[in-house]
Amino acid sequence: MKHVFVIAFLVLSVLSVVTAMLRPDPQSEHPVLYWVTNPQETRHRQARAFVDWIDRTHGLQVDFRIDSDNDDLRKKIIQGVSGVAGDLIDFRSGDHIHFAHAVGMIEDVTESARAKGFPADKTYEAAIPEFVFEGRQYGFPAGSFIHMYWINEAVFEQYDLPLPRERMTLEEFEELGRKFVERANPPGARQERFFLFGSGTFIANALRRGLGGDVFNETLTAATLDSEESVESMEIIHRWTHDYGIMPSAADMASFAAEQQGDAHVAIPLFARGQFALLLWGRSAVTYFRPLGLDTGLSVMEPPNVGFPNTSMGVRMVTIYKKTPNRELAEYFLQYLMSEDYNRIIAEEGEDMPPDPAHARTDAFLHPPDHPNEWGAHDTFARAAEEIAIGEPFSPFVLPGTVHRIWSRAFSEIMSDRRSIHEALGIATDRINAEIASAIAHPDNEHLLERYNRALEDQQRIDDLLARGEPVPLSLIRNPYYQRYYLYTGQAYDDGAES
Amino acid sequence: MGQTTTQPLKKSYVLNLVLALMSMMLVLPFIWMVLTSVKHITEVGDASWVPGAAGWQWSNYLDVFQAIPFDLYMWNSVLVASWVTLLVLVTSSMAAYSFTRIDWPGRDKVFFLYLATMMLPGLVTMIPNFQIMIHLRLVDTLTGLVIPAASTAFGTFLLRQFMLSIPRSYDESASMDGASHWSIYCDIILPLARPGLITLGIFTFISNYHSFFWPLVMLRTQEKYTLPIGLLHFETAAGESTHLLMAAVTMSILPAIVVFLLFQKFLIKGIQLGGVKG
Amino acid sequence: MSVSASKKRRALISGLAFLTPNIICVGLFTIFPVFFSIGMAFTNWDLTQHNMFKDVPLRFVGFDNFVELFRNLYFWQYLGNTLFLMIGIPFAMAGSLGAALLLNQNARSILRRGGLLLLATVGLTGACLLLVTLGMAASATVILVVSVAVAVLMTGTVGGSMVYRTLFYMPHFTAGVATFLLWKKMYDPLTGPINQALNPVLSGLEPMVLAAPDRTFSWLAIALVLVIGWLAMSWIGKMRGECADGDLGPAAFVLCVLLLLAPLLFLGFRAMPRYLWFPLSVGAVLITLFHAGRFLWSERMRARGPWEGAGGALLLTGGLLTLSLILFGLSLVSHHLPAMAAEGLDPPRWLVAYHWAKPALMIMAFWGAIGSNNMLLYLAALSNVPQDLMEAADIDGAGAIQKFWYVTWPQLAPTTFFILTMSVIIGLQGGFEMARAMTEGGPAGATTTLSYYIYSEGFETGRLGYASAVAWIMFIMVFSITIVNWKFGSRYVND
Repeated sequence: MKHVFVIAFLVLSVLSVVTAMLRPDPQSEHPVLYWVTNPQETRHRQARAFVDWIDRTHGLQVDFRIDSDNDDLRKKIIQGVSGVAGDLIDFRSGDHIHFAHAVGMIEDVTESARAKGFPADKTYEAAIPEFVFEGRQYGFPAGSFIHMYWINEAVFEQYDLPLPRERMTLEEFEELGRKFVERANPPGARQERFFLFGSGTFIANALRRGLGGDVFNETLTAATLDSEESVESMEIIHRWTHDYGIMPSAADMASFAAEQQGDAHVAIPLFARGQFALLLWGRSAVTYFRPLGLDTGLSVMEPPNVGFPNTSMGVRMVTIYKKTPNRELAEYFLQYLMSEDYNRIIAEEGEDMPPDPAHARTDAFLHPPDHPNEWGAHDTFARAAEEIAIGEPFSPFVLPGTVHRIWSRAFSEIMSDRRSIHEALGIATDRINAEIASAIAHPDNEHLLERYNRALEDQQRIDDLLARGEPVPLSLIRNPYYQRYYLYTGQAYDDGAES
Repeated sequence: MGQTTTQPLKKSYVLNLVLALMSMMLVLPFIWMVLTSVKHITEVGDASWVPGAAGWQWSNYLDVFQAIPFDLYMWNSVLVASWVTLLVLVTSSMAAYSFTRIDWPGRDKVFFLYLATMMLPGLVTMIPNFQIMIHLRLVDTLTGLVIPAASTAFGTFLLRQFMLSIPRSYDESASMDGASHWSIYCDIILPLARPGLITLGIFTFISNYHSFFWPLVMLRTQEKYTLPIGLLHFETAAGESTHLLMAAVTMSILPAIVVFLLFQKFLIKGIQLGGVKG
Repeated sequence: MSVSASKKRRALISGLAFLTPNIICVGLFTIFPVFFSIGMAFTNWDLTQHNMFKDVPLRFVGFDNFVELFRNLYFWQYLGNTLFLMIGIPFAMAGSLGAALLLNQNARSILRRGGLLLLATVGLTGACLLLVTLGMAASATVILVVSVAVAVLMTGTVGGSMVYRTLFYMPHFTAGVATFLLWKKMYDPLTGPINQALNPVLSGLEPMVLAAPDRTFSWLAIALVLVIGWLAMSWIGKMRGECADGDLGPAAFVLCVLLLLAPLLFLGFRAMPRYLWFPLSVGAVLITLFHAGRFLWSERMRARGPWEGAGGALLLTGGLLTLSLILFGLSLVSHHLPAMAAEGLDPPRWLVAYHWAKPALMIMAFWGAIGSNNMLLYLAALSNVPQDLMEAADIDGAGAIQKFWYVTWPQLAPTTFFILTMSVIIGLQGGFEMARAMTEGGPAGATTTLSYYIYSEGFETGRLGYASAVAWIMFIMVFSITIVNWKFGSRYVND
């Protein structure tokens, strides 16, 4: 028996060593970089281009690997705090980036961004709040997305309706929508064709901002979801859904077998079939349209204008893991995101907006040679990203994920008629403010309390100035929406100071 | 069994029928699994269990290797389970020797403590263990799967029961001759305890082959996935290809069935000796 | 003296030396973590706040985690899920016992006398397999299943119990992520074989239900409720009799009555119309009080202690309660059947339906548990039933059922008790693998058990302190079951 043990031990040792040697070697001759990202074919093209680019521009050899097994927020966080995350980590929403930043696992790249040429202000202004906190930069966008209403032109022809214009007022939009619903659905039958499909919370946000309100106040110190503008925006959505049939309700969606609203695999084919005339989606919708062979005319319009034209911008961010052994190389990857090589891929493949806004003006972006049916759309995206896109309001006093959860819940309560609009929004506002109160009261958060008190003073000054009808200096305002909105309405002036 | 000869033939047939039906119900899922694994992709989800016009697609099994590094997963699983088995056998048999053949003061109290740890929910220790692994830098390594599993109270308990049943006269004579504990352990007790060791070895191997929680927490990169983790990953990634998943599942439970058929005598003895586990 | 002392010291040294490899591992990965985790349960350790990147000091928060846990509705839901899944335990035990009894009855082999049968089955199976390989769509399934059944029967008659035992044991031995994924596919509402088999059955049932005269099913429902009442009352009466005989202690009696009546009354309150519930519950309480009163006034109270006979009585009460719950469920189904049939009977959506996900997991667990270690333990116990007792019963002219009830069952009591406590201990910690591999704890948390909750709080959300607190609550429950095991089980366990 003792010999069996010894032999087994030797055999297993040999086998283990052999296994370790045969495995795709982590100690390859070049430094290895892991990029945790989503499993899309184009990522491999982008990775290959990076290897070529870094060799050409810096003379460096790198073994660049894509890790799409761990592309899940919880996995990224737990692996991050366990010291085993990838060198470069993607985050696809500001909520997630804020969370990762709160955990402390992503690298501050402010200085190297300046040195290597990818500072935050090189990309879209509206994207900046997503990855710059307190003046410090954490990563760089691999792509920014703005949501617009895609128009399936064939559907409008079919029902003999005029094409929507790029910018329409609420009244025009509603009239067109009701006409469409009337003509596209036989009377008496169950409604199967809808004017608009898209994430309800997003549409509500755009409407609210158009009316002059936002989730947070000017200094991000309190939630203002219960404002008049907020209530009105919800009334609009509610009547679109339940009175006019412009948008499908949750029950309608269930009959389309869509488990989740916004699921690309359900919504996009339905739009391509003409079940929806308009689809709220980013420019990346073309990456779904193209494989479907959708060749009808496509164009886009802004969200209906209720006073202040706007849409919001999100980013897919690449961040650097704090424990990476190859920080320098990882920074080169962020530099590469500003390069011609990378931006051209984004422009050609139709994946969102390129990190470098200049590339949204190239022919590859505006007029993809193989897809002339899209030509009406790309230009609108390029202009909208610079002109009407605004960043999300991220309050430093509460985790954005929490805010999002509370607000989504209120939204679904309203849409399912479980609560009145006033009641649901009131509860949501109170809950967010309670979260803020408990965060600043926490003994570990003294610096936060200080910031909060300073912001509260600013808020007081803003309120006073607004009450007196005087313009507000821009540097007092923290909420990116109000910065733009007050300039638009003339209630603010640019005092040139850093906010 | 004295009844055998007196058992009436009719009763025997009825019994056999009932037993056959029961086993049939239990085996049906496996039959479905194998049949689905050889279906053509267009026939997956059909009401008929048997592959239809498209024929029996044995090539599905090869396609699994194209879709996922099944061989790598299998290899990782077997390697980890083998290491754990070896280490558990060594540590447990030594401990069991100490508990049965050496009279040291406080022995029974320590043994009682060992028994008590068997009652602990594994989850209680998982969270601190993960912190330990972070500090030892063993997260996402196969070593990190082996080391915490390298000794179990259950193994010690089982082998102790077994060694108690070996008459002391065997080793006492050797002890009189001046043999050291080490040589008694190696040359007398270990060979005599062979059936017990085999039982424990199979238990350990199989339970580590199936092990899920700890690898799930520990592993990050695909090259290190063990079979359960790899299968789960395949299931979420595979989406529509139920036939390939079933082929992979079939291949992954095959070793367990083979081991069981080869060693079932030892297993049943072990279960009845050591109470139960799992 | 000094010789023996040095001998003792030598024994100690060599004893510990042999223990060293084991003790290092157990110490580092079991004993130390246990104490560490007790400490963690009282801190606010959150991986998002306290990790290698940040210097936020950990703070002891006393019992805050436990307070939060008890206030957290999710915790109670998940505890409820865990307990609900344990309803499967009595069934699994009954299945194991039944399998063991059958296997024990079965002769080794009837090969010589079954020669003709054997030849016939070989021929039949061969023909069937041929048909199947030629490919006959739907009927091929039937032929295949039949032929496999025949093949099993054939090998069983040749190989005897060993063959069946192997087949019974297979689901348990292969249980793991692989079989969970298999069942997940089988439960698929549209493409899974289970619903594909149920669909024709249900569509056949539908017109029959609709054709039945009005209120038939309502009366059936009421009849089932009355059966439950009758069962419960006669069991309470029987226990009172045992009290009077001194076989059952008063405390055990009260506990059993509570265990039986409380869930039934509560469920009835939730599910039954009030005009039905009030008379039934008042009746039940009155009868119970009557029994209790008679018992208290009786002078022949000879129980040796208040807990006399608690183990066996609780076991049987639990079994009866489970049976009552099933009947109750049947009654509910029967009450709603006509309405359901009018809308069209659809098979359950199993894992994706809130109310069916747990039963689906229980069915799967039952499949794995029949032929598990429990069956082997029962087999061992059955072979230890003294033969002379059986023969004595034979001489008394006892039937098979009486022999089981008066001879075998009491002899099996220690094994049953052992299996029960072990199953409860495992059940309390269970459900993680199923939940993770099949449902991710959903839908809407319906299959999240305590262990899955600990996993998701600890390893997905990163709240280590809170997760440890939940783990320790679980430990306390497991520990109390162990205590019960020692207290009541000790008299059974002789070795």
